[in-house]
Amino acid sequence: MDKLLGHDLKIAFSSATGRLEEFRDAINSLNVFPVPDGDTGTNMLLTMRSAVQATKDACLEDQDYSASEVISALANGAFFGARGNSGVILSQILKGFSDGLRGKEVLTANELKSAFNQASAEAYSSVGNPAEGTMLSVIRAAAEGIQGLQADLETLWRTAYQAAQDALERTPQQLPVLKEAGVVDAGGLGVVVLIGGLLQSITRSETDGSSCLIGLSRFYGNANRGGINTEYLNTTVEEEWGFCTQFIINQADGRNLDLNSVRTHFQKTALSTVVVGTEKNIRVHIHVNDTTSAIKYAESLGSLSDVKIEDMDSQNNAFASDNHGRPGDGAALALLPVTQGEGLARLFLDSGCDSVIEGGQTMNPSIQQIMDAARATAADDVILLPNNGNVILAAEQIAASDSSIHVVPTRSIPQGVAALLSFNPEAPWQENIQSMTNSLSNVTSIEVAAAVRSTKIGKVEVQKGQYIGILEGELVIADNNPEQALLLTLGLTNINTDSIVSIYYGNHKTPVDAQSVASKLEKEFPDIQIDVIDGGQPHFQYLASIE
Amino acid sequence: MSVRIVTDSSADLPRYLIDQHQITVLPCYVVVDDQTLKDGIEIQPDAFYTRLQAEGRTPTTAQPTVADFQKVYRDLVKQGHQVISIHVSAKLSGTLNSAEQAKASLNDGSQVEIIDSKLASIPLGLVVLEAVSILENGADSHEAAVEIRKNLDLHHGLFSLDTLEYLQKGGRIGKARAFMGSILNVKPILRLQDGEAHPVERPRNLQRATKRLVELVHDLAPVQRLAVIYSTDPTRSATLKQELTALLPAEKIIETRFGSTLGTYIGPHALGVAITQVRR
Repeated sequence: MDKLLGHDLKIAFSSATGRLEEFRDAINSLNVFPVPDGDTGTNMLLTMRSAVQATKDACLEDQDYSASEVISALANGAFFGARGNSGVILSQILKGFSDGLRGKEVLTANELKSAFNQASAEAYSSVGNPAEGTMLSVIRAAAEGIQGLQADLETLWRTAYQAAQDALERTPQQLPVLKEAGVVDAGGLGVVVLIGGLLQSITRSETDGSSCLIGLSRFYGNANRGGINTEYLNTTVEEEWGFCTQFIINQADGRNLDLNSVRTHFQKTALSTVVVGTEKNIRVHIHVNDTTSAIKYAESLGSLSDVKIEDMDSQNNAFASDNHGRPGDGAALALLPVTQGEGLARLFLDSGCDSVIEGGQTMNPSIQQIMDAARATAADDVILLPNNGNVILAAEQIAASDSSIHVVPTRSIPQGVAALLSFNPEAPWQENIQSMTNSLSNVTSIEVAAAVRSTKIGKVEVQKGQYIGILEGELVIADNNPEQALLLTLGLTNINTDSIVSIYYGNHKTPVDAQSVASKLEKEFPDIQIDVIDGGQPHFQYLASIE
Repeated sequence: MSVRIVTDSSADLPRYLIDQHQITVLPCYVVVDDQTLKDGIEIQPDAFYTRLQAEGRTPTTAQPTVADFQKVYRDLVKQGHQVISIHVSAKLSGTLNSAEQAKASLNDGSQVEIIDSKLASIPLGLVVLEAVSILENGADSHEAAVEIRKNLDLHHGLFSLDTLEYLQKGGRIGKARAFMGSILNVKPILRLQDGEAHPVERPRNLQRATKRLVELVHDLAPVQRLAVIYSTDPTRSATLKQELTALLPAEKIIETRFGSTLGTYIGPHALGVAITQVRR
């Protein structure tokens, strides 16, 4: 085998998606921090399904298409169908793969090297703070494993597959939370399954069973292995400082732009760097303290457009008002939260949101769903509240591609409520982003859920069926009684006389259950305000916040 | 020729200042249980708030009539005075309408200057007090009116409400509608701007609302005048005043109470601050 046609690739990705489906539960099981958490396997699968569907829509069955055309449709479908952080990163991998094949009629050994290389580069460069020990490390190992190697297509693919497995094996050494839980990275396993699934399809080895993938059970076979901390997926921590600065550099005076040098410059001088584009125009998203220098540098390369600086600081107003500092207009700004459960939806709607996106734990909305909902608001600017750590990256991807959509990175419903109450529909969106983001530091979030498996995280031993208390994303308590788990977790927070405690009870709980917690808490802290609210959320027996 | 100041009872000025500066205050009307009463004359705050919170028909308000204005303007002009008539925002009340019609009906309407404060309650009261001090410096009514209009942007009103229910029932909710919502039981802070109430923030309880009011006032420093106002909780108002003494000595901070007109909309447990900034 020395080349793959567009048609072969279409079949290979469709077939690999089938393999991913077989491994979905295995991948989920690695990711399952004892609550039914991020659902990495499901997210990657749904992203791939959307990708494969796009190739079917774009490339008709009875016609010939180039490798480039098929993969480009695939990447596009993945982008719009991406769910969860793992889905978004996967879509970036496919985008890189597509870039590496641009204009190519067929996929040969040489093209494969550049496609893998681009896939890895794209995944890293699009994510702000790349964390090692994640799917990023796995795709990079696959890419690096075949660079410089002179071999046929199948050998290269086999080598990449092996390198990916080796990298997956190393993830617990790279990411302490994986080691603690005794698992490999879930998203990394997803990447391995896809590479293996593609290999299986192109070598036609399906006929002799799942030979390529059969060894993978070693990565998840041990049923007693625990889950991992939700924070592991957080490869894109938003820095707490600086100004979020975005602009497009446009080619001027016929001088071509050098994407790599621009990217290198900003990676050295800024954080959360996303630099994408061509020699004609480059979109830059950075976080910097010194906005002026960043803009000056960019202006030396070409003409700027779409300049946006998310800060109301007066020194930056000149830029903002010259460009996108549109004054706020009540009707022009919409707040769009992602939420789950009737009570919580009612709460957000009651407090001034025109609509909500249904989703969250175990059901991350796709980029397409979020974009549709944002568009349906018909507002000039939309502020998204992801309200879940696993939706933030998708929301930020949308914001990076659509200058009218903005994100307050809320990781939980309590943070979402804090942001909601700081929202002023009359203020400009920039001002709102700032005050809403500031409000997040004043709220402590608690979640109580049933453990779906036994595990040990840190010093906390959890039996399946017990209720676990999660404080700011960290598992801190396990107890047989959900109310007790909530009380014990509350006991670990800094409640003082000025505190306001809000308890949102889930759809399997009654106001009486919640009130019993409130009464006990009141005995201990007679002066504090305690609000009991019908959240109606699935999965979490209780959500609580301390302000 | 001396100049007299006319305002309406929605300015919520305390009695001693009205007397001291010989301000003519036209009472607005409050309709409670089918009785039409003159605000501050025929009904006092204590009785009003008791009736407001009792079961029964929600009170309504009515502006002073054209005839009320005619009488006041005529008498003052007849006594040889010029008149500056400063009133509640035209977006919130028809009072200015009554005033304008009364002025038009006078033989010598040019003696009367009418000013839309674009404010209500004690923020309007502070505009009136500024008019007093401008006139003390010897300006005639026209010069004073120019100066007052020029300085309207220095006056601010911030209000902390227990509920938006009364504002809504009274049909004055306007842009504050964005802060409607009962599930979280928030305590909205509103700002008077461009003649109407705008939403600012939603603290979770009254203590935090007081704290935020203080911070918002500090953002407006330096100030030349301050007033605090309450509907039913004088202790909350006293706390607020204490917190503002960093900006102005306590004896210079005016304390007053929402009368029946404002009370109809602002409801019980409300608190407010009026600020006149120093021109920078």
